[in-house]
Amino acid sequence: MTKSKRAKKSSKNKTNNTNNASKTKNACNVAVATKNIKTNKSNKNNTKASSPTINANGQVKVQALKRNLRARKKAQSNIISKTSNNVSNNKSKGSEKTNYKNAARKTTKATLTPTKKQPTQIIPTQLIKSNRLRNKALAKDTSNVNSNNGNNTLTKKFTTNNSNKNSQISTTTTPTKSVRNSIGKDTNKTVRVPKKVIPPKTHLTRLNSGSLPNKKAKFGEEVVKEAVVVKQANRITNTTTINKTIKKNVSKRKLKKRVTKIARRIAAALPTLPISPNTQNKIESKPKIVRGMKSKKKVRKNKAPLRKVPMSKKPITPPESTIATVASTDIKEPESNSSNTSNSSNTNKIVKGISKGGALVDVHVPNYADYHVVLDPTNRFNGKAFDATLNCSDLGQNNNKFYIIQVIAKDDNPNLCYIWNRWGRVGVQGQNAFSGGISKENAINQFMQKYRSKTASKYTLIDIDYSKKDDDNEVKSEQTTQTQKKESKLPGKVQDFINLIYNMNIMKQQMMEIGYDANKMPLGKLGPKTLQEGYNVLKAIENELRGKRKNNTILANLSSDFYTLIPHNFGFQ
Amino acid sequence: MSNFIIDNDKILKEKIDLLESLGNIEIATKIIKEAEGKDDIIDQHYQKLNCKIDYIPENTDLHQLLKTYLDNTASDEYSASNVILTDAYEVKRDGDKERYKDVGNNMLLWHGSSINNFVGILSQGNRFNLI
Repeated sequence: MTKSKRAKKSSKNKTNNTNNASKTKNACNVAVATKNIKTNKSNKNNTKASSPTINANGQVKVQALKRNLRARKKAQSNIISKTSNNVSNNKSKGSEKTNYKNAARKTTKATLTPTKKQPTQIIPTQLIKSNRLRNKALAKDTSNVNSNNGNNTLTKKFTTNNSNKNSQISTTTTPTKSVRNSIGKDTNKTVRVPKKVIPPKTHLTRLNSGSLPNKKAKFGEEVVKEAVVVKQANRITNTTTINKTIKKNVSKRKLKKRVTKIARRIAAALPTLPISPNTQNKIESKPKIVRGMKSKKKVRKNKAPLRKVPMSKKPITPPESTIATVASTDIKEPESNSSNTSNSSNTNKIVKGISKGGALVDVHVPNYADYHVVLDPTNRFNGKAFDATLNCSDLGQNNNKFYIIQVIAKDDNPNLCYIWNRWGRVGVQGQNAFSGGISKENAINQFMQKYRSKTASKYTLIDIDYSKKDDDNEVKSEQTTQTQKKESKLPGKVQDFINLIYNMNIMKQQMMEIGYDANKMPLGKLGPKTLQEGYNVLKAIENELRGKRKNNTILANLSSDFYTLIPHNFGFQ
Repeated sequence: MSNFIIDNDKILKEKIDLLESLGNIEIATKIIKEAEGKDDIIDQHYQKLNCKIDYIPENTDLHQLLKTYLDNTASDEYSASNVILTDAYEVKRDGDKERYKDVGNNMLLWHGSSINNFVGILSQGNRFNLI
């Protein structure tokens, strides 16, 4: 949270200050309690143990500390003793808090202690969010972002809670910022420590039900329970070894929760997936997750970095599971004209079709696998093949249509040619016309005639790059099996990264989100020429926008040009 | 349909990003095709990036420095509560060291990008579109 924001919020919250004071106190104790966990248990009940570690700053500081401690003890006992009478307890705490604050104000060093804790209080929010972010990758992948409303609101509540805390500290102790900055490394450590101590998932799951005050009570309760034994604050000791042991325990718990949560999300995401039936998805995705995890484990054994286990395991599971689900939906698409069983054989034949021609026979041609696109060696059309994908968008006319023309011939009778036309709105299958049984020359003439008449009216040819052999389904199946195939010697984290950035499904998903029609125009196929033309149109649009007066008709026309070049699925509007 | 008219900077930016992504995805698909069928796909993919990529563990000073940097400098739009450092990697692109001339006035450049673009950026360098 930026400082300016904090300041803003502080001004807002001033009116509620008395109220917040109690809340803050409560939350403050939570933070302290979490810290207590990390102090060695041998330190328990030992007031002296805390002061020498801080020390070096004279009496005033010790005084402040003592008050601090007293306040905390009380608060802790209050929380433990129970939450139902929260309000009354909080009032008394609130007054003590002001005492404590006054003491803090006296010396800058004394403020050091509370301010150092301040970042720790921010952590729960961040943690929760960070987890959400991580999970978001998963959610995005499955095209389902809305599964988490409950958590959303919860996080918001925490945010406000935290901001209250922040505001108070910043209003009472002005040197906060400078001190915090000057602490440098220490601050970093204090920031980091509680990250491991508080398992955010626990809070999420526990807090999901019930109203805000209850949540807070639970939040406090749960952490304090662990900390009761320790009782004594030990602020600055940042023994990393202790951190690690705690981290291990917590991360195990975290991991379990995450896994269950991810599973739940996938389950929640499945019904919203557009095409394929849920059951099929589940069956397909399950074994893949398991296998993927196994292979990852092997890799880790080689390297054996203990700490990584929980970290790297988590990001792996979601992409794989989602790949599995998305892939299964994608496989269904091209076979809208054939049955499920013939699908697999069809995909194989597509590859064959490509290798035998310069272009891909439209999948909507009946028995398309038996055909090939007639090549154009004499450069009558484009030098490649008689295959034209035309696009036409006109925002003013509400036009967003495509027109496909192909000259195709059967593999076993290459001299008998057919003309295939398919047209419709971008995003749908549209209508088609299939005529033929004519000579090659005749077919090519008809093709050229159609092409000219279409491009004479607004249609534009889209440059499709067939230079790579391409079959989308193949890419996808490749992706799903990827992690099972061979162990890489790369560190697990780097592998995760590589898998992430090469995940075609994430890419496709993201492109669909911005409206690009990845079904009609498979990714990676738009030729560089089309892209360059797209840039040029955008450049023209930018010039228009920068001009003194925007001309909306020009903009609409240019936009239409852009959508013509780069197919977008607007749906029907 | 009129709401699809590109008549402000925000939509324009989206469309520029879209084209950038398309270009980068094309690079990615190309690499994926090339690696197809080989049994060390991850390694193939890694090599094609021509980069040395190291993970920066969370407990290192560098990771903490990045985190602090991110938290302290996040703008309002990407405030610290929205941007969270989950993993950090150190990337050394082949040949960058030779090309880089230290003239003494070093600044860090922060550049955010969609996942779509990473293969392109890492393998080709960060090309800024010329619009």
